[in-house]
Amino acid sequence: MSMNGALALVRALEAQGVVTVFGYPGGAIMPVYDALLESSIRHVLTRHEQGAALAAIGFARTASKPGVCLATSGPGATNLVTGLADAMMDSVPLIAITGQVPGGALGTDAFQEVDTFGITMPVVKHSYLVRCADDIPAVVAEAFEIAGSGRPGPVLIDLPKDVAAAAMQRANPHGDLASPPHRRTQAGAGFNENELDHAVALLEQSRRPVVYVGGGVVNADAVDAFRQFVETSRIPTVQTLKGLGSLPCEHELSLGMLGMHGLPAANMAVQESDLLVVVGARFDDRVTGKLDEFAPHARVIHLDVDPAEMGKIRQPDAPVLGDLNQTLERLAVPMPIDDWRGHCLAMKRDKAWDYDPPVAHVYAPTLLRDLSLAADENVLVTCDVGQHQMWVAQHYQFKHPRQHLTSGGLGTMGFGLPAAIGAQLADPDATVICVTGDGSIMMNIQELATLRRYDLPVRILLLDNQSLGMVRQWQHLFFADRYSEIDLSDNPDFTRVAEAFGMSAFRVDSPDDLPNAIDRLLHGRGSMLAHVAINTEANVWPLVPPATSNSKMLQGSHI
Amino acid sequence: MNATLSVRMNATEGSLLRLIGLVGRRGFSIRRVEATHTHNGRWLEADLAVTGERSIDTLQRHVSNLHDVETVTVLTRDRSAVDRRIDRESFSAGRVSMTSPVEGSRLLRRY
Repeated sequence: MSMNGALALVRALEAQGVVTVFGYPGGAIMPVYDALLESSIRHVLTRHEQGAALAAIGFARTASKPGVCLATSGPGATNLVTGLADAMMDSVPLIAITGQVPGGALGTDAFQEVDTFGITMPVVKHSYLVRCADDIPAVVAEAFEIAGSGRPGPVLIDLPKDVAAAAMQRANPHGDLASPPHRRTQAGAGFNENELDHAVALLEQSRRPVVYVGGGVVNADAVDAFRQFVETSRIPTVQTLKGLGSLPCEHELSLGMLGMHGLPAANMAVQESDLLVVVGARFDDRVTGKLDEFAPHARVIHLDVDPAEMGKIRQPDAPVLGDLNQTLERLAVPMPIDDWRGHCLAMKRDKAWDYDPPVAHVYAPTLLRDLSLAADENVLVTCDVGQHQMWVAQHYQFKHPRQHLTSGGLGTMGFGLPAAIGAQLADPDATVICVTGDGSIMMNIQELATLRRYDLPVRILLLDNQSLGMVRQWQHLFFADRYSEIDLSDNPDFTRVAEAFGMSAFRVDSPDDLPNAIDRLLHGRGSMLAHVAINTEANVWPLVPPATSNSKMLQGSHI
Repeated sequence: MNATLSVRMNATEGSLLRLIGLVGRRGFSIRRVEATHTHNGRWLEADLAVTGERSIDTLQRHVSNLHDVETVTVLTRDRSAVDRRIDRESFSAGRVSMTSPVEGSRLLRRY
């Protein structure tokens, strides 16, 4: 086969070490699918382009390298947009390659033409519309560099069909662009010594410090440095949704997740603190609650790789920009804060969760806590979005952040199953459990076919309250019980659905069923679905109402 | 906050759209744009007069993060003489123009 643009693309992906791509074929991307027949790259056919993008995200977050997804033009490309936005919000390195109508047809409303480059611009770190086949190798190389460097993110490559089909003119298909690409100096490579000294001085002055850690620690591959920092300073630590496991959740100094559904000790410690050490986090509104009243007595040391996060939401007293592996090491000093540490740990003990409430039905927090206690570090948990997602965050005892794949920034219902597919393919030896709800599972349920096609032993733990539980909870609390479009009591029989896709399935209706269910989920063979009936009125507690101080947590009953 | 930014970026596909889209998404209204290709089309040099409630320094860092951007300079900020002149000319002529930008500190690459 002579080298055309499509084959050059595939060879360029190979040169980047790509072994797995996720996608769905169609008209404008057909030259690329033809070239894939010449490659050792494994193509995973999902049943919807959104599934391909989210699976590539799950792959990337598990493998710690860029994920790749393919789609055709028009609807194929628009179906990728949610995945691109998800990757942008959660800083995931993702390469999306879309077919496009031939260059001469651009702008003519051709069949399956859409301005993919324009539509995706707000949700990508960078993007390309390739005009010349000879540019493809360099575009791919640069796209991977951009996606994975600094603060990671998604990069789109839109490839017109005629460019994909065109013969390469230049002798070296791995050569540079005909017009050399702009190579900017990598910003944020170093840190400012004065700012670091100032941060150390603030630490030394502090009597009530709290560490607030987010997903940036994972992106920076700085978990070890972070743990060393905490072990040396022995500062009480709170974690964001994406920071969970940065310190093992069962660690003495871990106070749990903070924010809207944060644990009481975590929120109270932050509110009482005189210094926040913010590590790879961004003051998300779900974390801060009412911003003016967030950590009102605290000065702020902010460590991050992205200069745009410095002062975006809260002005730091000491902005420390740079690689967390370097900056954390410099801040690791012992802290004489025994009284404060003791106070925080006492709050943690006093506010410990009651995992044995007097209820007759399955209590989701207990199920998730027990599952995590029986699981080892080889178990990866993907989540969808809603109440179950928050219960996982509150009660699953993560040992490492890479065990937890959740859609944090965008909050993408339908994330869990395709992310589990990507995670399982990235780590075939892992036990991958997708914790989902009866609303979310239906968002990408077609990907059960992908599980079957590739014989992936993903386990689905479906918590079914026959409603859109988080929306119902908010309508109960903030809309005077005016329930609107949250009733899902007409759900299909999920066990039969799973069986129709070749999975084993079983129901969990009683707390007595839990030990056996957990054992099957962790040790059973093949893909399976556990359909767990939970109380339709169950709520997530605590809850900080929107635009309210985190010191005003609502607490409800165990039902 | 009114400010004028001077941006030099690589003249690639959609670079001007990328720039003005980002400025808008990050909470600023654009009151004037003047953009020119220079150096035989290698660079796009753009001056933007913007207004918004948020920090111009944060906007500058967001713009700086764009892969194609080489430099961002805040030429003027807040109610400078230039901004007031822009307002007057815009009001009287239905358009805006800036003739002699005040030289500002070149803050980009602080980080």
